[in-house]
Amino acid sequence: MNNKKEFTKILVYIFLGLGLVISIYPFYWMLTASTLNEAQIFKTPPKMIPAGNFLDNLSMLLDQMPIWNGLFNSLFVSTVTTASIVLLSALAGYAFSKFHFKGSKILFAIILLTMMIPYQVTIVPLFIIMMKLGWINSYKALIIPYLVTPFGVFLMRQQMFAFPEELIESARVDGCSELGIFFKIVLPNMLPACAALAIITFLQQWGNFMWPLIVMNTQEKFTMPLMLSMLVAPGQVTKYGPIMVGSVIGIIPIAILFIFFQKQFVSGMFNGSVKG
Amino acid sequence: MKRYSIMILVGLLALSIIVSGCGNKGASNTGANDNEKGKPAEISIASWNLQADALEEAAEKFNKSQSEVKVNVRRVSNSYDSIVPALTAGIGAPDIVAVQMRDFANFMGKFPDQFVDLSDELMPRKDEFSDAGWGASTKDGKIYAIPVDIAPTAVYYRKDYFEEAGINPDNLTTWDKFMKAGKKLQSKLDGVKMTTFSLTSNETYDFWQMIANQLGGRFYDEQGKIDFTNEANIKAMKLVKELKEKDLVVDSPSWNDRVRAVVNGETATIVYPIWWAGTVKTQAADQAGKWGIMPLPAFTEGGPNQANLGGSVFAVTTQSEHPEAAWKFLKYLLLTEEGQKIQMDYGLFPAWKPFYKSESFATVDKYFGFSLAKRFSELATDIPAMKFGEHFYDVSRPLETAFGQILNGKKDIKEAFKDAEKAASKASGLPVSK
Repeated sequence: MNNKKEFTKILVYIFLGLGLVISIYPFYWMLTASTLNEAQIFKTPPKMIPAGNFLDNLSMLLDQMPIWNGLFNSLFVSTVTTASIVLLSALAGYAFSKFHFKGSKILFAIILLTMMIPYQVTIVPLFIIMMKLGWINSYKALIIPYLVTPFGVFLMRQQMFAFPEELIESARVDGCSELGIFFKIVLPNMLPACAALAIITFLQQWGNFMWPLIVMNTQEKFTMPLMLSMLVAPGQVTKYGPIMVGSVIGIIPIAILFIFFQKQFVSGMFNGSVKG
Repeated sequence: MKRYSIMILVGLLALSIIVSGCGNKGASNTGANDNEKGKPAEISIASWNLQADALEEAAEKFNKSQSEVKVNVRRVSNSYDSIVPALTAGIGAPDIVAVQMRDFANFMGKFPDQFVDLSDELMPRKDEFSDAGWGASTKDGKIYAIPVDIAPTAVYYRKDYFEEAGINPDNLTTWDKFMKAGKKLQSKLDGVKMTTFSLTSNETYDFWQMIANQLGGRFYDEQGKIDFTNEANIKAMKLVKELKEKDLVVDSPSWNDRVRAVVNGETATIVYPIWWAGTVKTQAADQAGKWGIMPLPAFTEGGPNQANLGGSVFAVTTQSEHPEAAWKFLKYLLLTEEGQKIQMDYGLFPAWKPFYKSESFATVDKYFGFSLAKRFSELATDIPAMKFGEHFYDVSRPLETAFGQILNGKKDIKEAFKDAEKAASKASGLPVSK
């Protein structure tokens, strides 16, 4: 009996180990390739040990793209939108779940309805608005349309339902202001949910490609995904070393985020899926 | 409940009217500013990567040389994602857009009123450009785009392999001779095949297009009806099939596989346009001096041996407030030696033939040991124009399927092309020829 259990355990570990190798391999190859020169990258069998060309590749990358600008732009836009989405979504979610005002259901239904409009449909109207406001090629065009998302409001509202009504009531009786209740009592207890939303949002913003591509049109204003994608174009030499270096740079912030918030990452995903 | 929803709708409507009202005022204001006297007319030109680099340099020089027009370069992706919304919206498009040649006819079909008719300026000078540049710029006898660069094709071959196998590239004047030499080469060199292209992915199309173009192949007949089963198309496909059956090809389904085959010395030749040179130089830097270039073999002795794969055009949009200024810049860029030289420095092969006689064409390439541009200019004198049409993607996809079926041995060439004609006709709405 025990032997059988051990055996299945070993099988499971072998299987998981294989999965680990398969999912880590692309990252390992990215890291390795960022240190190889062009000929080494294409050699068969592939060279799996890092060589010393990282700095050469980096300087080639900097010749092609102002990558530090891109890193700053991406960090700036993602951070600002994430902060704003978390705060505004929490406020709106709180209002929708704990305040019973006239028309709240309809308002919430409208917000949900906007989630059902395919993103592609909104591109052209949004572009026209940006054009008329003169915001093309500015951070405003990247940040303002994303100050709050229906998904964030929805997620926070669901989370807020679990918050005990009695706690709010007693604070109110003790004379705490409404904003005070929110910031001092509700928000501190909602931090796990906020962290989950922050991570989801940051990841989305970090990888956002289509919209920045449409509204930004000078190199210094490009975000990381734009810069990386534009290293490849028909009729020109694709240099893989610099592309790999750029990918490594682009993945660092996400890796750091993941290491620090690993717990919330997973719990956030489960929260979203179960309560949704 | 109902009352509230109506109120909200009315509120939203009012809001949208206010927003759009404000916007209109803003737009007319900027227009007025531009019309003030003394200020240069500002125009923007949108392109990607390398070409955008070239344009930035050209714009700087042009802006300094005169005070009437000021050119700004906008960077976009080669997938047109940032241009299409502007053309769809009818607002916000740059004055000049760069479009890949085989996509431009498609643009004309989708946005029929968005491009300025350039016939008056270009019709008298049409012969100055290589025929290959005119694959997509014209519609109903009018010209809507100016050819920028083209991509003449050749056979890149390994000199050392040819020498070892005792092959003289000058003698490979027909594909039959090429295949015979391939057999000989493969018997003498282990692990090397004569050439490489895709046998198992949709990229077989690229190789086929070069060969079909060489023979004057076409997708449409004179009336614009779909015509895949013409002699040239079939002959080209026969060659593709024969190369495969004689085992002369390293299969390279993707671009990276082709690079790998070259870097690892698995292929003796590769058929590609001038833009392949940059990739060999970068990714196979240690093979400097080992590559030579020869014309495509012909099908019959002395037959046609020129082809094109790639290239781009510039078009002026009707959204432009200063189409004359835009034309002025294009004239500097594409119809003067100074402008063309800048593009050449960035590796773009010009469609404008008078420039072929300039000094830039004599510069010897260090990697190859001869002047690439000059060699390729000799291969750009008679390239047949290939009409891509407004529905090019509806046309090319069924062909790609047909190539797969033929190379798998599932269908013979005629049958597969006939089926492809039907599929293309269904997708594009165009009738089949005959």
